[in-house]
Amino acid sequence: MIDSLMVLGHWPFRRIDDVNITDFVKVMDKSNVEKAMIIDVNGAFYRDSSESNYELIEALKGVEDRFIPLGTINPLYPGWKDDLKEMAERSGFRGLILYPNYHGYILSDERLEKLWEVVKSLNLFLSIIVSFEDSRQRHPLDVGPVSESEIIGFLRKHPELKLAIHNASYGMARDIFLSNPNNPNYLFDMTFFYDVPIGETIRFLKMVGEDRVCFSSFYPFRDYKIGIMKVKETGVKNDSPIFGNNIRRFLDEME
Amino acid sequence: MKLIDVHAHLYLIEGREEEDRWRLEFSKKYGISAIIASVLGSWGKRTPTYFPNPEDFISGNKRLWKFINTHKNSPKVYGYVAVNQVFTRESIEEIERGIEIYGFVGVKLVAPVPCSDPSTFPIVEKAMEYNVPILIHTFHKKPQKLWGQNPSDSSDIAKLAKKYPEAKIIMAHIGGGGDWEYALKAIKDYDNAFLDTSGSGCDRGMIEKAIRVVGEDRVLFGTDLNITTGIAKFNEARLSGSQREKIAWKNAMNIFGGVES
Repeated sequence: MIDSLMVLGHWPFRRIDDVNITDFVKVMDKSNVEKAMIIDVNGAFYRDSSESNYELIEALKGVEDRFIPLGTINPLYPGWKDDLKEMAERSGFRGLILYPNYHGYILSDERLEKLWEVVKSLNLFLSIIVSFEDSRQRHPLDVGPVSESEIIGFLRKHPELKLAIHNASYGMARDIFLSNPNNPNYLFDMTFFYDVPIGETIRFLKMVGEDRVCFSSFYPFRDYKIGIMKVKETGVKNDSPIFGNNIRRFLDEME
Repeated sequence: MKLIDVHAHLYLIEGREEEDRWRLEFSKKYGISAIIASVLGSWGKRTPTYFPNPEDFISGNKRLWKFINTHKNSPKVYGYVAVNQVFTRESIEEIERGIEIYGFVGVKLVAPVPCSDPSTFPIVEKAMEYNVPILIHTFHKKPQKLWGQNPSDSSDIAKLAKKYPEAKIIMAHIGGGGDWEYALKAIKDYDNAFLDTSGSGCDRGMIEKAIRVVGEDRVLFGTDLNITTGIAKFNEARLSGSQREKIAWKNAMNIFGGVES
Protein backbone atom coordinates (compact mmCIF):
# COMPACT_ATOMS: atom_id res chain seq x y z
CA MET A 1 0.00 0.00 0.00
CA ILE A 2 1.05 3.58 -0.61
CA ASP A 3 -0.34 6.41 1.45
CA SER A 4 -0.55 9.54 -0.67
CA LEU A 5 -0.38 12.08 2.16
CA MET A 6 1.24 12.29 5.57
CA VAL A 7 2.10 15.62 7.15
CA LEU A 8 5.12 16.56 9.23
CA GLY A 9 5.65 19.95 10.79
CA HIS A 10 3.76 22.24 13.10
CA TRP A 11 0.10 23.09 12.47
CA PRO A 12 -0.50 26.36 14.30
CA PHE A 13 -4.25 26.20 14.88
CA ARG A 14 -4.73 23.20 17.12
CA ARG A 15 -2.76 20.67 19.12
CA ILE A 16 -1.75 17.60 17.13
CA ASP A 17 0.15 14.82 18.89
CA ASP A 18 2.88 12.48 17.65
CA VAL A 19 4.15 14.57 14.79
CA ASN A 20 7.39 12.67 14.39
CA ILE A 21 8.75 10.23 11.88
CA THR A 22 9.10 7.34 14.35
CA ASP A 23 5.40 7.45 15.07
CA PHE A 24 4.62 7.74 11.37
CA VAL A 25 6.51 4.53 10.63
CA LYS A 26 4.72 2.76 13.49
CA VAL A 27 1.24 3.59 12.22
CA MET A 28 2.21 2.70 8.66
CA ASP A 29 3.49 -0.70 9.81
CA LYS A 30 0.32 -1.32 11.76
CA SER A 31 -1.73 -0.83 8.59
CA ASN A 32 0.70 -2.63 6.25
CA VAL A 33 1.53 0.55 4.39
CA GLU A 34 4.80 0.22 2.60
CA LYS A 35 5.43 3.82 1.58
CA ALA A 36 3.96 7.24 2.10
CA MET A 37 4.14 10.55 0.37
CA ILE A 38 5.08 13.11 2.93
CA ILE A 39 5.13 16.89 3.22
CA ASP A 40 6.36 19.37 5.80
CA VAL A 41 3.52 21.80 6.49
CA ASN A 42 5.97 24.41 7.74
CA GLY A 43 6.49 25.18 4.08
CA ALA A 44 3.08 26.82 4.03
CA PHE A 45 4.04 29.25 6.79
CA TYR A 46 7.74 30.01 6.45
CA ARG A 47 8.58 33.18 4.56
CA ASP A 48 11.22 31.19 2.71
CA SER A 49 9.28 27.99 2.32
CA SER A 50 12.20 26.12 0.78
CA GLU A 51 13.68 25.82 4.27
CA SER A 52 11.03 23.22 5.00
CA ASN A 53 12.60 20.98 2.35
CA TYR A 54 15.80 20.77 4.35
CA GLU A 55 13.83 20.02 7.49
CA LEU A 56 12.04 17.23 5.69
CA ILE A 57 15.28 15.67 4.45
CA GLU A 58 16.67 15.83 7.96
CA ALA A 59 13.56 14.24 9.46
CA LEU A 60 13.61 11.34 7.00
CA LYS A 61 17.21 10.28 7.70
CA GLY A 62 17.32 6.55 8.26
CA VAL A 63 13.82 5.90 6.90
CA GLU A 64 14.21 7.29 3.39
CA ASP A 65 13.05 4.01 1.86
CA ARG A 66 9.61 4.37 3.46
CA PHE A 67 8.75 7.84 2.20
CA ILE A 68 8.33 9.80 -1.01
CA PRO A 69 9.01 13.39 0.03
CA LEU A 70 7.22 16.28 -1.63
CA GLY A 71 9.07 19.54 -1.41
CA THR A 72 7.75 23.03 -1.72
CA ILE A 73 8.68 26.42 -3.01
CA ASN A 74 6.86 29.72 -3.16
CA PRO A 75 6.90 30.66 -6.86
CA LEU A 76 6.60 34.34 -5.98
CA TYR A 77 9.70 34.28 -3.80
CA PRO A 78 13.13 35.15 -5.21
CA GLY A 79 15.33 32.21 -6.11
CA TRP A 80 12.46 29.72 -6.38
CA LYS A 81 13.88 28.20 -9.55
CA ASP A 82 17.19 27.35 -7.93
CA ASP A 83 15.41 26.02 -4.88
CA LEU A 84 13.20 23.84 -7.04
CA LYS A 85 16.14 22.47 -9.01
CA GLU A 86 18.07 21.75 -5.87
CA MET A 87 15.05 20.02 -4.39
CA ALA A 88 14.59 17.78 -7.43
CA GLU A 89 18.13 17.23 -8.68
CA ARG A 90 20.18 17.16 -5.52
CA SER A 91 17.69 16.02 -2.92
CA GLY A 92 15.72 13.63 -5.12
CA PHE A 93 12.23 14.96 -4.45
CA ARG A 94 9.72 13.57 -6.94
CA GLY A 95 6.87 15.95 -6.31
CA LEU A 96 6.05 19.51 -5.47
CA ILE A 97 3.38 20.52 -2.99
CA LEU A 98 1.94 23.94 -3.73
CA TYR A 99 0.19 26.23 -1.25
CA PRO A 100 -1.45 28.85 -3.45
CA ASN A 101 -3.87 29.92 -0.71
CA TYR A 102 -1.10 30.35 1.88
CA HIS A 103 1.41 31.95 -0.48
CA GLY A 104 -1.02 34.40 -2.00
CA TYR A 105 -1.38 33.41 -5.63
CA ILE A 106 -3.81 31.51 -7.78
CA LEU A 107 -2.96 28.65 -10.09
CA SER A 108 -3.94 30.59 -13.18
CA ASP A 109 -1.51 33.40 -12.33
CA GLU A 110 0.47 34.18 -15.48
CA ARG A 111 3.60 34.58 -13.41
CA LEU A 112 3.47 30.83 -12.84
CA GLU A 113 3.94 29.83 -16.48
CA LYS A 114 7.69 29.57 -15.97
CA LEU A 115 7.07 27.35 -12.95
CA TRP A 116 5.06 24.87 -15.01
CA GLU A 117 7.86 24.70 -17.58
CA VAL A 118 10.43 23.92 -14.92
CA VAL A 119 8.13 21.37 -13.27
CA LYS A 120 7.81 19.60 -16.63
CA SER A 121 11.52 19.68 -17.30
CA LEU A 122 12.24 18.19 -13.89
CA ASN A 123 9.55 15.49 -14.20
CA LEU A 124 7.86 16.50 -10.99
CA PHE A 125 4.27 15.77 -10.13
CA LEU A 126 2.18 18.37 -8.34
CA SER A 127 0.15 18.10 -5.21
CA ILE A 128 -2.42 20.47 -3.77
CA ILE A 129 -4.18 20.38 -0.44
CA VAL A 130 -7.52 22.07 -0.90
CA SER A 131 -7.85 22.66 2.83
CA PHE A 132 -6.08 21.40 5.93
CA GLU A 133 -9.14 21.63 8.14
CA ASP A 134 -12.85 21.26 7.80
CA SER A 135 -13.83 24.76 6.68
CA ARG A 136 -16.58 24.78 9.30
CA GLN A 137 -13.98 25.00 12.06
CA ARG A 138 -11.45 27.27 10.40
CA HIS A 139 -9.44 29.47 12.73
CA PRO A 140 -9.91 33.19 12.02
CA LEU A 141 -6.25 33.51 11.08
CA ASP A 142 -6.27 30.55 8.73
CA VAL A 143 -6.89 31.03 5.00
CA GLY A 144 -9.75 29.67 2.93
CA PRO A 145 -9.56 26.62 0.68
CA VAL A 146 -8.17 26.49 -2.83
CA SER A 147 -11.16 27.13 -5.03
CA GLU A 148 -12.80 24.60 -7.26
CA SER A 149 -12.77 26.89 -10.29
CA GLU A 150 -9.05 27.47 -9.84
CA ILE A 151 -8.36 23.74 -10.00
CA ILE A 152 -10.74 23.17 -12.91
CA GLY A 153 -9.12 26.02 -14.83
CA PHE A 154 -5.65 24.70 -14.10
CA LEU A 155 -6.48 21.18 -15.30
CA ARG A 156 -7.88 22.55 -18.53
CA LYS A 157 -4.89 24.75 -19.15
CA HIS A 158 -2.26 22.18 -18.20
CA PRO A 159 -3.72 18.73 -18.80
CA GLU A 160 -0.23 17.33 -19.29
CA LEU A 161 0.85 18.01 -15.69
CA LYS A 162 0.24 15.34 -13.09
CA LEU A 163 -1.71 16.55 -10.10
CA ALA A 164 -2.81 14.91 -6.85
CA ILE A 165 -5.76 16.79 -5.35
CA HIS A 166 -6.04 16.27 -1.61
CA ASN A 167 -8.88 17.02 0.77
CA ALA A 168 -11.41 18.14 -1.82
CA SER A 169 -14.96 17.87 -0.57
CA TYR A 170 -17.29 15.40 -2.23
CA GLY A 171 -19.06 18.12 -4.21
CA MET A 172 -15.82 19.70 -5.32
CA ALA A 173 -14.31 16.39 -6.42
CA ARG A 174 -17.45 15.54 -8.37
CA ASP A 175 -17.49 18.92 -10.11
CA ILE A 176 -13.78 18.76 -10.94
CA PHE A 177 -14.27 15.32 -12.43
CA LEU A 178 -17.31 16.31 -14.44
CA SER A 179 -15.40 19.27 -15.84
CA ASN A 180 -12.38 17.15 -16.77
CA PRO A 181 -13.59 13.57 -17.18
CA ASN A 182 -11.07 12.51 -19.82
CA ASN A 183 -7.85 13.86 -18.37
CA PRO A 184 -5.99 10.87 -16.87
CA ASN A 185 -3.38 13.00 -15.14
CA TYR A 186 -5.05 13.81 -11.86
CA LEU A 187 -6.05 11.85 -8.79
CA PHE A 188 -8.31 12.57 -5.81
CA ASP A 189 -8.37 11.24 -2.32
CA MET A 190 -11.67 10.83 -0.48
CA THR A 191 -10.41 11.96 2.91
CA PHE A 192 -12.53 15.11 3.11
CA PHE A 193 -15.83 13.77 1.88
CA TYR A 194 -17.86 15.44 4.61
CA ASP A 195 -21.50 14.74 5.30
CA VAL A 196 -21.46 11.98 2.77
CA PRO A 197 -23.25 8.81 3.73
CA ILE A 198 -21.95 5.49 2.50
CA GLY A 199 -24.17 5.47 -0.56
CA GLU A 200 -22.61 8.63 -1.94
CA THR A 201 -19.06 7.30 -1.74
CA ILE A 202 -20.13 4.17 -3.59
CA ARG A 203 -21.82 6.26 -6.28
CA PHE A 204 -18.81 8.57 -6.52
CA LEU A 205 -16.44 5.71 -7.12
CA LYS A 206 -18.73 4.22 -9.75
CA MET A 207 -18.77 7.58 -11.50
CA VAL A 208 -15.04 8.37 -11.49
CA GLY A 209 -13.60 4.83 -11.51
CA GLU A 210 -10.97 3.26 -9.31
CA ASP A 211 -8.14 4.63 -11.45
CA ARG A 212 -8.96 8.14 -10.37
CA VAL A 213 -8.68 7.81 -6.59
CA CYS A 214 -5.76 7.43 -4.20
CA PHE A 215 -5.86 6.57 -0.54
CA SER A 216 -4.48 9.11 1.90
CA SER A 217 -4.38 8.94 5.67
CA PHE A 218 -3.75 12.66 6.20
CA TYR A 219 -2.06 11.54 9.40
CA PRO A 220 -1.62 12.94 12.03
CA PHE A 221 -4.46 15.38 11.38
CA ARG A 222 -6.70 12.30 11.20
CA ASP A 223 -6.45 8.92 12.86
CA TYR A 224 -4.64 6.61 10.52
CA LYS A 225 -7.39 4.19 9.62
CA ILE A 226 -10.12 6.70 8.80
CA GLY A 227 -8.90 7.18 5.22
CA ILE A 228 -8.64 3.43 4.69
CA MET A 229 -12.15 2.87 6.05
CA LYS A 230 -13.53 5.64 3.85
CA VAL A 231 -12.25 3.86 0.77
CA LYS A 232 -13.18 0.39 1.96
CA GLU A 233 -16.78 1.36 2.65
CA THR A 234 -17.22 1.50 -1.12
CA GLY A 235 -16.62 -2.24 -1.24
CA VAL A 236 -13.32 -2.11 -3.16
CA LYS A 237 -10.90 -4.99 -2.69
CA ASN A 238 -7.58 -4.77 -0.87
CA ASP A 239 -5.73 -4.94 -4.18
CA SER A 240 -7.59 -1.98 -5.63
CA PRO A 241 -5.28 0.50 -7.41
CA ILE A 242 -6.60 3.09 -4.98
CA PHE A 243 -4.30 1.65 -2.32
CA GLY A 244 -1.10 2.09 -4.27
CA ASN A 245 -1.02 1.36 -7.97
CA ASN A 246 -2.50 4.66 -9.04
CA ILE A 247 0.32 6.50 -7.30
CA ARG A 248 2.86 4.00 -8.66
CA ARG A 249 1.51 4.68 -12.15
CA PHE A 250 1.93 8.40 -11.58
CA LEU A 251 5.54 7.91 -10.59
CA ASP A 252 6.35 5.32 -13.25
CA GLU A 253 5.05 7.51 -16.02
CA MET A 254 7.41 10.20 -14.90
CA GLU A 255 10.56 8.06 -14.90
CA MET B 1 -17.49 -5.72 22.99
CA LYS B 2 -20.99 -4.31 23.02
CA LEU B 3 -21.37 -1.15 20.97
CA ILE B 4 -24.41 1.10 21.12
CA ASP B 5 -24.76 3.79 18.46
CA VAL B 6 -26.79 6.53 20.15
CA HIS B 7 -27.03 8.69 17.04
CA ALA B 8 -28.33 6.75 14.05
CA HIS B 9 -30.91 7.49 11.39
CA LEU B 10 -33.16 5.46 9.17
CA TYR B 11 -35.01 6.88 6.19
CA LEU B 12 -37.83 4.37 5.73
CA ILE B 13 -39.07 6.16 2.65
CA GLU B 14 -39.39 5.16 -0.95
CA GLY B 15 -36.19 5.61 -2.88
CA ARG B 16 -33.84 5.35 0.08
CA GLU B 17 -34.23 1.68 0.90
CA GLU B 18 -30.68 0.95 -0.18
CA GLU B 19 -29.27 3.45 2.33
CA ASP B 20 -31.25 1.86 5.15
CA ARG B 21 -29.93 -1.53 4.10
CA TRP B 22 -26.37 -0.17 4.07
CA ARG B 23 -26.88 1.33 7.51
CA LEU B 24 -27.91 -1.98 9.00
CA GLU B 25 -25.35 -4.04 7.10
CA PHE B 26 -22.44 -1.78 7.97
CA SER B 27 -23.53 -1.51 11.58
CA LYS B 28 -23.51 -5.27 11.84
CA LYS B 29 -20.25 -5.64 9.93
CA TYR B 30 -18.42 -3.25 12.23
CA GLY B 31 -19.73 -4.67 15.48
CA ILE B 32 -22.48 -2.20 16.38
CA SER B 33 -24.84 -4.28 18.49
CA ALA B 34 -27.62 -1.72 18.94
CA ILE B 35 -28.61 1.55 17.31
CA ILE B 36 -30.87 4.26 18.67
CA ALA B 37 -32.35 5.75 15.54
CA SER B 38 -34.63 8.54 14.47
CA VAL B 39 -36.57 9.20 11.29
CA LEU B 40 -36.72 12.89 10.46
CA GLY B 41 -40.18 13.06 8.95
CA SER B 42 -40.16 12.69 5.19
CA TRP B 43 -36.52 13.80 4.97
CA GLY B 44 -37.41 16.94 3.10
CA LYS B 45 -39.87 15.39 0.65
CA ARG B 46 -43.00 16.99 2.09
CA THR B 47 -41.71 19.51 4.62
CA PRO B 48 -38.11 20.54 5.36
CA THR B 49 -35.93 18.02 7.18
CA TYR B 50 -35.08 20.56 9.86
CA PHE B 51 -38.58 21.99 10.08
CA PRO B 52 -41.01 19.11 9.69
CA ASN B 53 -44.67 19.81 10.26
CA PRO B 54 -46.62 17.62 12.71
CA GLU B 55 -48.04 15.37 10.02
CA ASP B 56 -44.54 14.75 8.76
CA PHE B 57 -42.84 13.98 12.08
CA ILE B 58 -45.80 11.88 13.27
CA SER B 59 -45.59 9.84 10.09
CA GLY B 60 -41.81 9.38 10.44
CA ASN B 61 -42.11 8.12 14.02
CA LYS B 62 -44.86 5.74 13.04
CA ARG B 63 -42.77 4.28 10.22
CA LEU B 64 -39.93 3.74 12.68
CA TRP B 65 -42.25 2.00 15.13
CA LYS B 66 -43.53 -0.32 12.41
CA PHE B 67 -40.00 -1.06 11.29
CA ILE B 68 -38.81 -1.87 14.81
CA ASN B 69 -41.74 -4.22 15.29
CA THR B 70 -40.73 -6.29 12.28
CA HIS B 71 -36.93 -6.03 12.61
CA LYS B 72 -35.57 -9.14 14.27
CA ASN B 73 -31.93 -9.14 13.20
CA SER B 74 -28.75 -7.57 14.53
CA PRO B 75 -28.24 -4.74 15.29
CA LYS B 76 -31.07 -4.17 17.71
CA VAL B 77 -32.95 -1.00 16.84
CA TYR B 78 -34.39 1.46 19.36
CA GLY B 79 -36.21 4.66 18.56
CA TYR B 80 -36.15 8.36 19.33
CA VAL B 81 -39.38 10.32 19.05
CA ALA B 82 -38.49 13.06 16.57
CA VAL B 83 -40.47 16.28 17.04
CA ASN B 84 -40.43 19.93 16.03
CA GLN B 85 -40.80 21.92 19.24
CA VAL B 86 -42.31 24.88 17.45
CA PHE B 87 -45.51 22.80 17.27
CA THR B 88 -45.81 22.44 21.03
CA ARG B 89 -49.11 20.61 21.46
CA GLU B 90 -48.49 18.12 18.68
CA SER B 91 -44.93 17.50 19.88
CA ILE B 92 -46.07 16.80 23.45
CA GLU B 93 -48.77 14.42 22.22
CA GLU B 94 -46.26 12.70 19.97
CA ILE B 95 -43.78 12.25 22.79
CA GLU B 96 -46.53 10.64 24.87
CA ARG B 97 -47.40 8.31 22.00
CA GLY B 98 -43.75 7.60 21.19
CA ILE B 99 -42.73 6.67 24.72
CA GLU B 100 -45.92 5.02 25.96
CA ILE B 101 -47.17 3.22 22.86
CA TYR B 102 -44.16 2.88 20.57
CA GLY B 103 -41.73 2.14 23.40
CA PHE B 104 -39.15 4.64 22.15
CA VAL B 105 -36.30 5.51 24.49
CA GLY B 106 -35.51 9.18 23.83
CA VAL B 107 -36.54 12.42 22.15
CA LYS B 108 -34.81 13.86 19.10
CA LEU B 109 -34.89 17.57 18.29
CA VAL B 110 -33.85 18.80 14.87
CA ALA B 111 -33.18 22.44 14.19
CA PRO B 112 -36.23 24.67 13.74
CA VAL B 113 -34.90 26.98 16.47
CA PRO B 114 -31.91 26.79 18.81
CA CYS B 115 -32.73 24.73 21.90
CA SER B 116 -32.41 27.68 24.25
CA ASP B 117 -35.60 29.03 22.66
CA PRO B 118 -38.54 28.85 25.13
CA SER B 119 -40.45 26.60 22.72
CA THR B 120 -38.07 23.84 23.76
CA PHE B 121 -38.89 24.06 27.46
CA PRO B 122 -42.18 22.06 27.46
CA ILE B 123 -40.43 19.35 25.43
CA VAL B 124 -37.64 19.10 27.97
CA GLU B 125 -40.14 19.00 30.81
CA LYS B 126 -42.02 16.18 29.09
CA ALA B 127 -38.81 14.23 28.52
CA MET B 128 -37.94 14.70 32.19
CA GLU B 129 -41.33 13.31 33.15
CA TYR B 130 -40.44 10.10 31.29
CA ASN B 131 -36.77 10.30 32.37
CA VAL B 132 -35.57 9.91 28.78
CA PRO B 133 -32.61 11.69 27.12
CA ILE B 134 -33.03 14.39 24.48
CA LEU B 135 -30.67 14.30 21.52
CA ILE B 136 -30.26 17.80 20.10
CA HIS B 137 -28.90 18.55 16.62
CA THR B 138 -26.01 20.92 17.27
CA PHE B 139 -23.56 22.89 15.19
CA HIS B 140 -20.56 23.88 17.21
CA LYS B 141 -19.85 27.59 17.42
CA LYS B 142 -21.59 28.71 14.27
CA PRO B 143 -19.27 30.72 12.01
CA GLN B 144 -22.08 31.51 9.64
CA LYS B 145 -25.74 30.88 8.97
CA LEU B 146 -26.54 27.41 7.77
CA TRP B 147 -28.89 26.95 4.89
CA GLY B 148 -32.19 25.32 5.77
CA GLN B 149 -31.66 25.02 9.50
CA ASN B 150 -31.39 27.04 12.64
CA PRO B 151 -29.39 24.75 14.89
CA SER B 152 -28.35 24.99 18.48
CA ASP B 153 -24.74 25.56 19.33
CA SER B 154 -22.94 24.55 22.48
CA SER B 155 -23.93 27.72 24.31
CA ASP B 156 -27.62 26.85 23.75
CA ILE B 157 -26.97 23.35 25.10
CA ALA B 158 -25.24 24.86 28.14
CA LYS B 159 -28.16 27.22 28.81
CA LEU B 160 -30.68 24.39 28.60
CA ALA B 161 -28.60 22.08 30.79
CA LYS B 162 -28.29 24.83 33.37
CA LYS B 163 -32.01 25.57 33.37
CA TYR B 164 -32.93 21.88 33.67
CA PRO B 165 -30.25 20.13 35.73
CA GLU B 166 -32.38 16.98 35.96
CA ALA B 167 -32.79 16.66 32.19
CA LYS B 168 -30.48 14.35 30.25
CA ILE B 169 -29.32 16.36 27.28
CA ILE B 170 -27.14 14.96 24.51
CA MET B 171 -25.25 17.49 22.39
CA ALA B 172 -25.24 15.79 19.01
CA HIS B 173 -22.19 15.01 16.92
CA ILE B 174 -19.08 16.56 18.38
CA GLY B 175 -17.66 16.05 14.88
CA GLY B 176 -20.65 17.72 13.26
CA GLY B 177 -18.83 20.82 12.16
CA GLY B 178 -17.58 23.98 13.80
CA ASP B 179 -15.18 24.53 16.66
CA TRP B 180 -15.59 21.31 18.62
CA GLU B 181 -12.94 22.33 21.15
CA TYR B 182 -15.01 25.41 22.00
CA ALA B 183 -18.09 23.21 22.38
CA LEU B 184 -16.39 20.96 24.92
CA LYS B 185 -15.41 23.92 27.07
CA ALA B 186 -18.89 25.43 26.76
CA ILE B 187 -20.69 22.43 28.26
CA LYS B 188 -18.07 21.10 30.63
CA ASP B 189 -19.62 22.54 33.79
CA TYR B 190 -22.97 20.83 33.28
CA ASP B 191 -22.94 17.19 34.33
CA ASN B 192 -26.30 16.56 32.67
CA ALA B 193 -24.94 17.59 29.25
CA PHE B 194 -23.60 14.59 27.35
CA LEU B 195 -22.17 14.43 23.86
CA ASP B 196 -21.98 11.86 21.11
CA THR B 197 -18.89 11.17 19.03
CA SER B 198 -20.54 11.18 15.61
CA GLY B 199 -20.12 13.54 12.68
CA SER B 200 -17.91 13.78 9.65
CA GLY B 201 -15.36 15.84 11.57
CA CYS B 202 -12.72 13.42 12.79
CA ASP B 203 -9.70 15.40 13.91
CA ARG B 204 -7.23 13.12 15.61
CA GLY B 205 -7.52 13.50 19.36
CA MET B 206 -11.18 14.58 19.34
CA ILE B 207 -12.48 11.79 21.58
CA GLU B 208 -9.44 11.93 23.85
CA LYS B 209 -9.94 15.65 24.41
CA ALA B 210 -13.67 15.19 24.95
CA ILE B 211 -12.87 12.81 27.79
CA ARG B 212 -10.25 15.15 29.20
CA VAL B 213 -12.63 18.12 29.24
CA VAL B 214 -16.09 16.75 30.07
CA GLY B 215 -15.10 13.41 31.62
CA GLU B 216 -15.43 9.82 30.49
CA ASP B 217 -18.96 9.40 31.86
CA ARG B 218 -20.47 11.95 29.49
CA VAL B 219 -19.22 10.72 26.12
CA LEU B 220 -21.39 8.38 24.03
CA PHE B 221 -20.51 6.48 20.86
CA GLY B 222 -22.44 7.59 17.76
CA THR B 223 -22.14 7.64 13.98
CA ASP B 224 -24.95 9.79 12.54
CA LEU B 225 -24.56 9.57 8.74
CA ASN B 226 -20.88 8.64 8.78
CA ILE B 227 -20.70 5.04 9.93
CA THR B 228 -17.19 4.08 8.90
CA THR B 229 -15.75 7.40 10.02
CA GLY B 230 -17.47 7.01 13.38
CA ILE B 231 -16.19 3.48 13.81
CA ALA B 232 -12.62 4.33 12.80
CA LYS B 233 -12.60 7.43 15.01
CA PHE B 234 -13.67 5.37 18.00
CA ASN B 235 -11.40 2.39 17.29
CA GLU B 236 -8.33 4.56 16.80
CA ALA B 237 -8.86 6.80 19.83
CA ARG B 238 -6.24 6.28 22.51
CA LEU B 239 -8.43 5.11 25.38
CA SER B 240 -8.06 2.86 28.40
CA GLY B 241 -10.13 -0.32 28.47
CA SER B 242 -12.58 1.13 30.94
CA GLN B 243 -12.96 4.40 29.00
CA ARG B 244 -13.62 2.42 25.83
CA GLU B 245 -16.34 0.37 27.52
CA LYS B 246 -18.02 3.44 28.94
CA ILE B 247 -18.15 5.21 25.60
CA ALA B 248 -19.10 2.07 23.70
CA TRP B 249 -22.09 1.08 25.78
CA LYS B 250 -21.96 1.64 29.54
CA ASN B 251 -22.75 5.34 29.46
CA ALA B 252 -25.58 4.74 26.99
CA MET B 253 -27.10 2.05 29.16
CA ASN B 254 -26.84 4.35 32.16
CA ILE B 255 -28.86 7.13 30.61
CA PHE B 256 -31.22 5.22 28.32
CA GLY B 257 -33.55 3.08 30.37
CA GLY B 258 -34.43 -0.25 28.80
CA VAL B 259 -31.73 -0.25 26.16
CA GLU B 260 -29.84 -3.51 25.94
CA SER B 261 -26.98 -4.39 23.71
